[in-house]
Amino acid sequence: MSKRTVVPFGPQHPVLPEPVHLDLVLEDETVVNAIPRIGYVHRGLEKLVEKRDYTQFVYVTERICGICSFGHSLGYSECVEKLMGIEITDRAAYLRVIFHELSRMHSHLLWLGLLADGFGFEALFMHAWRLRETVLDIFEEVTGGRVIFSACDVGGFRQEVSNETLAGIVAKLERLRDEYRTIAKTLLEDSSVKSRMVGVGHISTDKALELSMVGPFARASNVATDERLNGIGAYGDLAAFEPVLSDGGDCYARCDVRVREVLQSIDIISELVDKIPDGEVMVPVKGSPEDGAQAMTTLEQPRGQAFYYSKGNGTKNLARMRVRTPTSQNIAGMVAALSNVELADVPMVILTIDPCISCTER
Amino acid sequence: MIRFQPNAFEAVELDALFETVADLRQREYRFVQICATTLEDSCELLYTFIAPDAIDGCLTGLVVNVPDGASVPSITELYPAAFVFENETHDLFGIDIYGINLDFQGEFYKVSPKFPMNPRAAEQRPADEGKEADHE
Repeated sequence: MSKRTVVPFGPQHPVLPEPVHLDLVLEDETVVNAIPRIGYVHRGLEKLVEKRDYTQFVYVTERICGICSFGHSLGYSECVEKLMGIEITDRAAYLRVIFHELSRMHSHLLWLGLLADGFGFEALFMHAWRLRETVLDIFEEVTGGRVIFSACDVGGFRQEVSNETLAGIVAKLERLRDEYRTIAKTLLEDSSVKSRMVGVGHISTDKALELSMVGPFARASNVATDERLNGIGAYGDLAAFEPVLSDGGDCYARCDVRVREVLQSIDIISELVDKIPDGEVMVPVKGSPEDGAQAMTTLEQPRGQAFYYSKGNGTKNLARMRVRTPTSQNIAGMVAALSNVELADVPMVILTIDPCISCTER
Repeated sequence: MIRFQPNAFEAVELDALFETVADLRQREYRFVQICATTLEDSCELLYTFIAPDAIDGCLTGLVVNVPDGASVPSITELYPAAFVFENETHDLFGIDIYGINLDFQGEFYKVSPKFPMNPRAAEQRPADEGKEADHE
């Protein structure tokens, strides 16, 4: 039997923008076990509901994560609206989905750049982030903010976005689509990329189900899980929606799924801009959640299913607010994907899972 | 347009928790999360699952009341991914959960105040000495 060695990985490591620690148990160069450790920057944001009322707390949820900021404010708002029985307008529901899909594009393009940077493909890294700027510019033009833009609120969408502006967004995305296809092809057809990723960090469909994996991580193992399938809000008005799947289960499949999801988001935005109804974007919100009322919602964030729970106590402050982020759910899957890979492949496995520790340390 | 995701809450006795979750596992429900809430004289755990055939995304919530000092069985034997939430529930709320497949013995989160989401547990178990001693 080979001698076992424990190699600490993180909390500071070039492929980790945020702190997470892994004890990698090695036999020679092969990882036989990985023990995760988080909690280095836990912020206790859920406890802040005791200090901030339910309308103020939407600003806190936006700050759970800088990448999926809009999604967290959307998930929280939907949860509180369900708690209080607030029905938003159709136009607001469409705008929310349009901006949520833009956020997904921004997140996936950021991930693509980090992945390329991780294996030294600097030109691809710069092109991915250049295209991401298009999305950030749209955010800035419409809302004034580039990452945290406070557009979503309990009761709807904070500002009207004209149909002309929306048409302009679609035109920009159509131009982006062509450029994006070129760099995506470069990534997915490059022989050195394939040699680093095909067959590495494999998770079977059964294993993905057993480990309750979510998001692109699960879909790359051919698990058809995607909260957008529920058809809540404007997603229900799409002519058709099929999750992007791959049966590869390895690092390459995870890249393939995310790459195709960017194009899917452009399609969703284009369709919804064509269909968006006229009308108000906010409804008045009055009163407080009833004592003992509770609500649960889920949302497909860029990294997968996020869960939101709120409970009222008859005051403006919620008794409890819970956010379960996709990375929390995927930690078990990440540990499994790291088993039996070479030590040199560990960064690649982690990058293709795209963990967001900031979300997890809410 | 569908506005709200359907929810189904069900109260479950602590003694029947593992059996109830095992039944859901048998029916291929997917695990979503565990959430603890501090009440006046106890804690409440919410276990959330989603049915494999839930086309509308209906979420099933099992609500379990946990008296102070009671121990809760781990469900990681059924859903391995639950270890994250069970360790979190212990570290933030001071609820003892036994049988976790990867038990960090109170060191999953590096929090400076003990059990910050449950002041009552922090008063009753200031050092959580047993667990720390075992870990050492």
